[in-house]
Amino acid sequence: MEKERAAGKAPVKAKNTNLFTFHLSPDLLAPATREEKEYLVQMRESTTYWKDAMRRFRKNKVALLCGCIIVLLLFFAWVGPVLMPYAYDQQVRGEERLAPMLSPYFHPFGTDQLGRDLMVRIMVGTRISLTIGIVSSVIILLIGTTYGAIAGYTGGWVDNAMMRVVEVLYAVPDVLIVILLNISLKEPLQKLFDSGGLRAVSSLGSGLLSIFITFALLYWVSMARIVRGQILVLKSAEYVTAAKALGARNGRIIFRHMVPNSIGTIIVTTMFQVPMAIFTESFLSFIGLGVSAPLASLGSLVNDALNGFQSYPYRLLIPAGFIALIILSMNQLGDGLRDALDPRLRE
Amino acid sequence: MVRFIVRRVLSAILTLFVVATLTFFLMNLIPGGPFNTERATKKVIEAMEKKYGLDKPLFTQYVMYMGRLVRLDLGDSYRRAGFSVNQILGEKFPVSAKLGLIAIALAVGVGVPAGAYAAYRRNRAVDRIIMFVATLGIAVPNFVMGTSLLLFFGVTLGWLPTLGLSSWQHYIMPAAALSFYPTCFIARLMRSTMLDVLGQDYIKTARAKGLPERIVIFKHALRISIVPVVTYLGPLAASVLTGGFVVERIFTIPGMGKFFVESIGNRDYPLIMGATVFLAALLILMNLLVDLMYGVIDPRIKYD
Repeated sequence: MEKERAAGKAPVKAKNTNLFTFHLSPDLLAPATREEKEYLVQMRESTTYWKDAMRRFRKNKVALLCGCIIVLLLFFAWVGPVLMPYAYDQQVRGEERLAPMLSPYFHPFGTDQLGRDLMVRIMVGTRISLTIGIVSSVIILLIGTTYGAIAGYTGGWVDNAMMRVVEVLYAVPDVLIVILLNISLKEPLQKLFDSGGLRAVSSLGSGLLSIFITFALLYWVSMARIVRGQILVLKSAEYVTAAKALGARNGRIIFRHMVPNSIGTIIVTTMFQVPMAIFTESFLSFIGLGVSAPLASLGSLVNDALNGFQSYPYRLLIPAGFIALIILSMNQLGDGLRDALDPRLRE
Repeated sequence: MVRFIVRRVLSAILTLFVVATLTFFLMNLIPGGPFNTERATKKVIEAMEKKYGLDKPLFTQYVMYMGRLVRLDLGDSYRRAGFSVNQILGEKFPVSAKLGLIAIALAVGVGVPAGAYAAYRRNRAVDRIIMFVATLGIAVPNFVMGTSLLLFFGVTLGWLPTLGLSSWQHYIMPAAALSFYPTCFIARLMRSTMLDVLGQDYIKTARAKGLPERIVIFKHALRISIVPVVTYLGPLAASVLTGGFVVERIFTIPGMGKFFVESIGNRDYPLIMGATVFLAALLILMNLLVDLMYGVIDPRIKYD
């Protein structure tokens, strides 16, 4: 583009102009045509924050690849089970303990000792891991942002008191409490479901729901801290003063001005919660908490495979590989988003 | 300085109190009592509950427990009759602590030099390789690492023993599984801080003065770069502890982790409480020590 302009491809003003004559040709005085006017306007399309971020993100090949892997995994987890000829808890008689690929039947990852197809179970497990990662991050996002925003914006003793709570929760050894919470919530929830309460969420199962509640209660803390920090910075911004002068209410200032302006940081922090949650869930499932049989999560599949792993190593390695793949691509995608949305945070 | 220490100690005690309270009430939320075994008749259960004061209102139980806790008496186990919680902890904890300390030493001892070297050789092949391994490493949960090691070195190759902790070879795999994630994390952390520090003016000044590279790196850069790693020691202790739950299960090690999960299953209230409060105290103490260590390492940090 620029080369063409430099080469003078622009509309030529007047033909046969002799610079040394005083004779003015009427052509020179003719009003400029639209084309000529457009040529003079040096305007580029304005970039928005999102376009700028997209441009940076597209350059990041690793992050793009990981994004694709996650999309594939989402398909694998949600569409896959529909296409498979078995259900995750279906026990096919006579097809027990098959090795991957080798069987005359269609079991790409083999089967377990009950004749359940491992591939469907891994699909369902991936679905559970991803659901837990995404849903708990959204919960953390909502609680953390609201709490942090209120604390940071109000300031004074309210901020002090709210942050003291955060400080204490932050120092609580989380896994011990997660284990306790998970166990103590599971059975009361199950009872509640059995008696017909909370029908809207009971299809999730008590194991999954207790994990959500656990994460919601404990892990919003770092989110709240980060959002509060952002709000404190934005508090002295001119547009906030302007909004205040115009009489905007506090809620409006927080959620229309401050939160959107720290959206990059918030998204990045949320993205990093996803692998964290998946990590914790697979850990809980591995030690036998988490989802209950016959439902499978990737962690519980590894746990099941631990008995007899000497004879059937693939039962252990395949789900383990999936966990690592999910967490790796989520981490890398998070890194990519951080570089794109919030370049200041870059290492 | 004194004010800072007093404030930190008070806040640590408050946290511990919160943990104890939370644990106490959460534990009582778990349905089923400690004596509800199949063989126990109603009369036996009542007698047992009376003996341990479980017939009293919950709040009275709570106050009684906290009273004993202040005197460091964690009570007796319900399930292992005749054993106090202190005794059981004294028996199990050293096993886990030894493994944990080895893992922490390994993580710091490998992670710090690896990260620092990667930063020093920025964008060279060594840096790329270290970062590649470290990035992979923080995506692998320790139970995946543990089981894979067990499968490969223990079963397929048969080089290392797979059960228990009876000789030094037994420690290799559990310690490696436990320290792999933190090592990778520390290497990444170390690299990014070190890169930051190496770009600072005082490093340029040191070089301009003609100091040997060895002194610039070890005395000026490394000392400051290590601060975030020190900060990470608190979470590291926690991660090794939880990792212990998993690794002890994989390698059949009779430590804290295995017994903590079991005690929850058994509703052994004093044991659950005791173990949680003990481990929490340990982690909180660790964080406290870390906070106090900053000033020693980085003289620029001032306490308020």
